[in-house]
Amino acid sequence: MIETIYIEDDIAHHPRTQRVLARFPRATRVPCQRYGEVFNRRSQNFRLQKMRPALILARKFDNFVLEAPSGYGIGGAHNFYFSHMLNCLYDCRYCFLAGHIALANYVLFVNTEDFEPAIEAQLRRCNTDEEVYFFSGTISLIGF
Amino acid sequence: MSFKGTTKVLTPETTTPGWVNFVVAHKGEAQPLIEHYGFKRCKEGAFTIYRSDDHTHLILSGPGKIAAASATAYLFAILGEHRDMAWINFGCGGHRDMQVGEVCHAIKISEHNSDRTWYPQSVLPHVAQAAELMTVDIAEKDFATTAVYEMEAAGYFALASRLSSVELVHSLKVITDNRQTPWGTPKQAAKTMHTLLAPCIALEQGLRQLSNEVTNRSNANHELASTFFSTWHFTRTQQIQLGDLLRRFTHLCPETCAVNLTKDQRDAKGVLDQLTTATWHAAREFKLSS
Repeated sequence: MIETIYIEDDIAHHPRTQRVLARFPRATRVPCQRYGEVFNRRSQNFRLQKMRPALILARKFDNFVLEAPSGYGIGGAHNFYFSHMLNCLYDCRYCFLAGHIALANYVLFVNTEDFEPAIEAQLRRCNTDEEVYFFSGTISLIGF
Repeated sequence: MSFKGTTKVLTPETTTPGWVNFVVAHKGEAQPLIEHYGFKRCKEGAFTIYRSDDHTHLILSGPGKIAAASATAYLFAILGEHRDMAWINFGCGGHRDMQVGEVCHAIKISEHNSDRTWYPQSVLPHVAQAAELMTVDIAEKDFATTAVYEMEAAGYFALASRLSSVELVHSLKVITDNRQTPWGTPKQAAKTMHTLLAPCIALEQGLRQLSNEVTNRSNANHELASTFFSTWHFTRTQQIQLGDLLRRFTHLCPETCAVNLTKDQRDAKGVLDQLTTATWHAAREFKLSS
C-alpha cells in the first residue's frame, strides 16, 4: 500500500518510526529535513497522488492542541482537537472535506508522547467542573 | 502540427492530451531515444528540438543545470505553455559504488553547495532502482556521498516542476563512471545509454497516460471556470478563490449546477459569496446527518 516513505532526519531513529518502517519493509525510504519540503510544495496533483500516496514521518513541534471552532464540538463546555496525522486514508465519495488540501500524501507525527503534556496543560486551564472533550483527528480537523 | 515561423511557436492543430518531453544534455546521450522514437530535428535555435510523430519532443540542453533549466523553459514556451505535460530528464551520472550501466530513478534531487532539494513524486512503479541525485557544477571524481552525481537534474527539476505537476516530472540516470571507472568522454558514456532505454520507455508510457488524464480533467475544470469568467469579471485573486470553491462545491454538491445556482448574481463577489454559503451549508448538513 505504501511504497514511498519520507523520513525526517530528526526522527529517523524514533521507536515509532522504526515500528512503521518495519511494517513496510519494501517501501523506498527517502530522507528529508522537514516534512514541509515534501508536503508544502506547490504544483502537486491530489488525484494523481491518491493513486499511490506516500507516507511522511515527521515530528510535530507546536500547536499540539487546538480549540475546535464553534459549532464543531462533540459535546461539553470545551472542545479541543489534536492532529497526529495529516490527510486521510480513505477517498469517500461523500466526504465534505475533500479538496481542502490539494495533495494526498499522509503525514504521521511520530512524537505522540509530546501531545500528552499539551493535553494535560490544556486541561489544567479549564474549570474542573466543566466537561472537556478532546478529539483526535486527521484531515477532518485540518480542514477547519 | 504547424510551425508558425514568425511567432516561432509550435502548436498542434487540435488540442492533444498526453504530452511527453525529454530533456537531455548531449546528442550522444539522446541517441537511443532518437532511434527508438524516430525523432526528427524540427527546430534549430538556442536549443535543438526534436519531434516524433506522436507529440513527443526532445530538447538538447547542453551540460549543466542552467542549460537544463533554460532548455526546459524554452521547450515549454515553444510548445505553447501547455501545463499538463510530462517531463523526463534522461542522462548519465557517476556513483561511488554502483556499477557502470546500472540505471537509477531519482527520488530526491539535491543541489551541491546549497540547501535546495526537490522530491520527485512517483505515482507509478519505479522503473529502476530509486536513488538520490546530487547536481554538481563540474564532473565529480571523489563521490563523497552515496548520491548519484550528475550535472542537470536540479536545474531541470526546479523549472519543470513549476510548469507541471511534480508527479509528471522525473529524472532517469545511467551510471557511466565510479571510483574504479572514471568519467571518459560523452561518446564513451553514450555507449552505456542503451541500458536506460527500456526503463525510460516504461516511464514514458505511464507518464503519457497520466498526462492524458490530468489534461482531460483540467479541460473540464477550465470549461466550468471559463463559463464564470465569461459572465462576470473576476480579479486574479477572485479567480483563485473561485477555483478553490468550485473544487469543494463539486465534491459537496455534485448534483447541483454551480452555474445555474449563481446565474442571478450581479458580480463576482456575489458569485463567490453564494458559492461559499452553499458549500458551508452542504458541509453542515452532512455533519448534522452523520
